[in-house]
Amino acid sequence: MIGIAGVGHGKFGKMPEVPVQELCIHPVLEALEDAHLQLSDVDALVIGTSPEYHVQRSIGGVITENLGLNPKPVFLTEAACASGSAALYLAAALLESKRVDTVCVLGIQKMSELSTSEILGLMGRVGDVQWESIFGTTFPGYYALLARRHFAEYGTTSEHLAQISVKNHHYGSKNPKALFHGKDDVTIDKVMSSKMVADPLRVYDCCANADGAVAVIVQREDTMNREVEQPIWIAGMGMASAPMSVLTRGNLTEIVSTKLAARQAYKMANVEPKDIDLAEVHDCFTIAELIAYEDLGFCGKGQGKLFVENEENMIHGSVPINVDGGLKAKGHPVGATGLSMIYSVVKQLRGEAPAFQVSDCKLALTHNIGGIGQYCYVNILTNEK
Amino acid sequence: MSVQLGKKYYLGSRYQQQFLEYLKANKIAGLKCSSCQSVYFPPRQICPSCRVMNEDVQWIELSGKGIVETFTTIYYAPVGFEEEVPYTIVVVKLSEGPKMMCLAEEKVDVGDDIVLRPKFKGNEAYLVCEKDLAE
Repeated sequence: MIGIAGVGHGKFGKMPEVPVQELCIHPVLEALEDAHLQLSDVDALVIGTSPEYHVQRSIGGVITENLGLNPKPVFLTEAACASGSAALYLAAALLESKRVDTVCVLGIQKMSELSTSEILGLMGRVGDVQWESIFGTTFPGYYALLARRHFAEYGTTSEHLAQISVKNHHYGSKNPKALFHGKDDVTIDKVMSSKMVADPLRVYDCCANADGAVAVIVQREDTMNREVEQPIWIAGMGMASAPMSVLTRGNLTEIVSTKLAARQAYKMANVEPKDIDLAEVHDCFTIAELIAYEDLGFCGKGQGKLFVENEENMIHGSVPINVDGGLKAKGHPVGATGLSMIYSVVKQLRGEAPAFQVSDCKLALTHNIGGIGQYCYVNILTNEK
Repeated sequence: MSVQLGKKYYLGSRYQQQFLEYLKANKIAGLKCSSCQSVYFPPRQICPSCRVMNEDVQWIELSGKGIVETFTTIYYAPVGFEEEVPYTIVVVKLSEGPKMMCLAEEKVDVGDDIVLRPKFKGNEAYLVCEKDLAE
């Protein structure tokens, strides 16, 4: 079994004065300290990032140099917004191969290096550029297409989505690592009166860009540092890809890669959706969170709105969702997000959540989407071997 | 100036050029697999249904008739589209099976019967949908 020995999480926010190779240092040192290890104990570094946001090319070079990790091996993985989870997946495979015993996984993104117009330029190329981007599609636009279809088929409304936004901002306000920490001022009215971005999604249905880095130290059961009091074990992992073009997808009310990745992870962990005590799901847009309830099996297809109405997604509900604030309130440094989810569930499984600790939390799930579901990673973590 | 498909991110790839030739002739075209005969879009050399390699993709003319599967109106545009906002993007499921993306110049709703037609703005070619009043 693969275990997590330590985690470290930088504050998410806009940090134009800190270059990417410095942004990683505190999270990596924090994770090593948490694991009772030194930099010299790291056998390999796996970085999850979306390279097109950085001015510096090939950031593995500057990061290993600044961490003093040379000549240790370094690998860089890209899966858009799921790059951090992709790095964890590959780190687990490296450990399972027994080529290495201890891997530092780093999810990192500097999003403030590019100008707004450059970011908007990138945003226009998230879809199939040949057949979709040429008509002016945007990232929120794609999720708006899913939302509009979900509204029409299942009667989901903008109010349901607004409730998700309010929930995540409420929980995120108590997360010291979150971009919107200390700001518990989002109401249904505020969401519903915010500017339209891509109908029916408004500003408060969308997560915010942020700079950020998160590090996770992973080891095998036989190499787990004995000084670690409570290793957190990865009981299940799943990954699936799906077509870039939404035109070739059958059903536009689901993310098929989520369903496939979840099936793999549940099977590997030998658990069912009802066994999950806590989930961190990919809420780049509020509709993405609602669809995830259904695709992960926490409720039936089309029942996401009832899951919201019955507060099943709240800390007192059947599956507390994003009680760390989610992407919505933490901010979304593309490459770091997947590992930020891991950080939060590790803290919860150890009973060390800074706020909103889920009682008797034994089994937690992370769900990280890349793009509009082109990639999806689902992990199931436990504090009991 | 030669005609291009949409704007900003037009690559001028061979399949875009071939699709444009149909638009210029006021036709909507999709692909047909030489092996399993399935009709699909966008162009893919490896058939999405049977995975057979089509070295030369085979274009066929489509009716352009379909229904609105979903749509969105964009208020924050990418670079190059700022002048267009707000604009409405529609995913259309064509009667022959494949889906296409187009722009709507009038109000549409999920489930509407529509027909696709080419529209030229300067040197830019688009697909737009109109309510299908044929029946």
